[in-house]
Amino acid sequence: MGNEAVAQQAATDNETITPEMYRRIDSIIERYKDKPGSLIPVLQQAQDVCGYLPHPVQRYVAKGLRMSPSVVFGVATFYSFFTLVPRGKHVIRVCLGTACYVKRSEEILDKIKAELELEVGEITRDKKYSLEAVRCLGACGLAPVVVVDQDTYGDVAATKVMDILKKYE
Amino acid sequence: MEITVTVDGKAVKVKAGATILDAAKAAGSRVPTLCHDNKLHPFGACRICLVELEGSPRKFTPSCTTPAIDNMVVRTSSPALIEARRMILELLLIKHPLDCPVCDKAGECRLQDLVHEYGLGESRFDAEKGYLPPDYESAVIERNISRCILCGKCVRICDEQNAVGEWAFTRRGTRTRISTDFDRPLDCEFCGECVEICPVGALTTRQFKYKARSWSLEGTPSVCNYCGCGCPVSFERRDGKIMRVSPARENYLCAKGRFGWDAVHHADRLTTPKMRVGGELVDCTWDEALAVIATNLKVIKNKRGADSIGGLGSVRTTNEDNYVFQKFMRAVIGTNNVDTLARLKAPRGLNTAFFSGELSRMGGHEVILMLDKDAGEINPLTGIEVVRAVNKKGRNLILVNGGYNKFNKIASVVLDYNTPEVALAELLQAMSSGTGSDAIKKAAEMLKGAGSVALIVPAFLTDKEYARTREFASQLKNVTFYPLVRRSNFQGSLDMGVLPDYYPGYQKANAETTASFAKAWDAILPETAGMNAVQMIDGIKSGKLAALYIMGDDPAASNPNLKALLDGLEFLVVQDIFMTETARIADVVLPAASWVEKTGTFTNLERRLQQIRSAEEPVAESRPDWEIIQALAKKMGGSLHYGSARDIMNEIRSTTPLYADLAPGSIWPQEKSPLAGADADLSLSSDVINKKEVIAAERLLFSSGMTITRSKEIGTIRHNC
Ligand code: SF4
Ligand code: SF4
Ligand code: SF4
Ligand code: FES
Ligand code: FES
Repeated sequence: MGNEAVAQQAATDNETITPEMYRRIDSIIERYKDKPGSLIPVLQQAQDVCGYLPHPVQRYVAKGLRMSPSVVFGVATFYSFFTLVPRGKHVIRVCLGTACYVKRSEEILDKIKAELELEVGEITRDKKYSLEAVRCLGACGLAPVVVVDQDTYGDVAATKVMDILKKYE
Repeated sequence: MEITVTVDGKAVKVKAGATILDAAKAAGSRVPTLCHDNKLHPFGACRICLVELEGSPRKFTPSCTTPAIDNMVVRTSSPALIEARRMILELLLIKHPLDCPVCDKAGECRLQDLVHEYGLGESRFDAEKGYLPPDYESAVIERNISRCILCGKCVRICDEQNAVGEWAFTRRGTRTRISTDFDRPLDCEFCGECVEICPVGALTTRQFKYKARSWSLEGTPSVCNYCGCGCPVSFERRDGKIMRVSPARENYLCAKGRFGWDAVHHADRLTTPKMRVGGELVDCTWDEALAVIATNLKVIKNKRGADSIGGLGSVRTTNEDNYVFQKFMRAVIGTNNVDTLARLKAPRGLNTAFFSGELSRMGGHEVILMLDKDAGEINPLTGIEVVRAVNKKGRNLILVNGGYNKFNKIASVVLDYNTPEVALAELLQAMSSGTGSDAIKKAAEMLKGAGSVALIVPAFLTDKEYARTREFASQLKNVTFYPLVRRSNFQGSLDMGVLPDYYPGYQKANAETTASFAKAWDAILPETAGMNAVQMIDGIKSGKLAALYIMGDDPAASNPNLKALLDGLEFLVVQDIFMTETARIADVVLPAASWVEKTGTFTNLERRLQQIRSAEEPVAESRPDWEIIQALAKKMGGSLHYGSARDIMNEIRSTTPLYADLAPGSIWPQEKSPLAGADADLSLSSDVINKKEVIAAERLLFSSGMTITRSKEIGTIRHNC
């Protein structure tokens, strides 16, 4: 990230992470501290509270658990169920794995980007959708594959993808 | 218990619990390693250390993580092993750029050595190197991620030894790398230990960048001059110039020890003597400068008496320099007015109530009670030994800290108090009556049950805290003290008698001692009591003191009041390595050689005598302090005839029983000191508290750190040092 982007992200983090959220994280830490293996559950619950794990929240957890912030970041970037950027109400994942790619899943991605005016890794202005590009989802038989929240859609055509998304308000 | 292991046909005995790698070493077989280091917990990441075990179902076994067992038969080399190691290397080379020609690590890189040994130039695997640009964002240290082999040594040393944990493995799969949180620049202790331990050129220092090839370097063993720990260093030189400093004996160096030596190349270095002519300091010859000093000091002595002249010695120069300095003040000037300013901030009870234990024995104590949370900043090695004791030996740390720092991460109990006084009072209460908060009770239990306790004594104690600490210590069985001593040769300056009331070796300046030194030195010695540093400052105010000779200290830098006072002196001589604030107001300024340019000894906070050796020629016309004093003595008709620092040490041994048979590298035993158990305090810090008007900015005055502030490299670290 460039300096500007970092500053911008920090500003959003400060806006979205409220004092109330920190109080809730305090009580999570209180419950787990001094217990071995507490980092993952604490991060999970902190993510539930904040929606994602921005830098200040990670540092806050690190200090609370008497750990190094680098180690916390290491764990937060290792497991795919942690996210460092805010996620929309609905998460769209488009598969770019080999099978899907061959079936032109990139066109689906481009369509969504254009229609929702966002890039991969971003969130729409109304916070309704966020977009992710993923590697093989293990459903190659259905290629090209799009996953919205927990629902998997196979054989998706670029022209039809917006109809699918309409179902998620 | 010992077990027998046969390695490559050779039977060796090793301790039970030893690894196969240890056994192979004992048998003289060389097994390559990348991720293993004796300092660290075993990790088993690289697998280059594979060996074959007879009768094992597994084809290969990593030797660094596998314990040896009795009657094991090991083979460290075979065609199959060589093939396996080649394969491992090839996998490592998938991403590695092998840019040895521009890598500072070349010549001491494990990967380069192995690639050479196993005859590999490149990997058969996909040639796409996944290049990531080097990271220049941090101070002092550069990270070249493409060269990283993910051995985890940096991660482990920073966590296990430093308790900082600045590096971590982050991300996953092929994107795994070592980084900080959110890839921010380093904000750590900048000790450079991660660079030192990195087996490849993934971490390098900016200071050494493109400076020299490692094989062209020649090491001179010496000692760091930045704090009382006195870490052994190796000045690594090329063409008579220092290029890099490394720890000698593989122990540890902090940022100051590793990078701070460049201060001696600062533009502020004094190159010629200077004297004041018409209000200006102008360059002059040695002869002129010494003549001016001799004349002025003689005039003042005749007019006002020898006791109107004072001398301030240095806690940064050698024992030899300080011995000669106090001898000059006593035998040539004829006064006992000799002291160091460092005593104003000296730790209370040092060498009387609190003799220091050996740092390397920290791990031998069951419980460590850390009364000063800043121990690691004042004496970095002391802090490291505490971390090692906890992480390697599993010792319990009780920490008194009202805030949060790295020691909170490893402490068994944290006592949330800002000063030790209340914590100690409550601990005493809990130890006798069992009452108190949970943390206090837990700590009291630990202390009561411990067979031995290490007490990290704070650097600064008020009268009340000092009394409380002593009372507390008397309640502990088997307690060892670890006082914090800022300046490298503070101990030596005390030992050498740079004290108004003691001759070298704490021999009280009474009639008897004076007579015996008069005989040894063949001189007439003063009988009047001398002024200490506080009294000298008062003396300037009252007019009792007319002239001051300052060797290697800069009181004016941090305190305008003191500067004005010094400016009012009739005659001021400053002998230093830099053009300091104090030098600027002096009448004569003499250029001294720095510690990297001379030979002699320091005595560290453990009371260990250590040899320092010259690694560079003295800058321009500068000379070792003792040589300057000797030349001046000659001009004043005194007789000092030393040919070398060694001659001085020989005299010290004959006049100072503490040093009589003290070999370099050894510690003088506390029982031998005349002050052992005495109710004396060599610190003047309690006087300072009562004299706030004289020394307003006291904190700054004592930690001015005149040398380290001139290190360019340390200057790039945003941190306070
Ligand atoms: S310089 Fe020292 S404190 Fe900083 S990351 Fe390296 S080992 Fe850790
Ligand atoms: S930077 Fe060096 S020490 Fe750290 S993991 Fe990479 S190769 Fe190992
Ligand atoms: S701990 Fe002290 S003596 Fe050791 S390297 Fe650091 S400043 Fe020098
Ligand atoms: S490639 Fe898309 S599901 Fe496998
Ligand atoms: S040295 Fe043994 S696994 Fe790396």
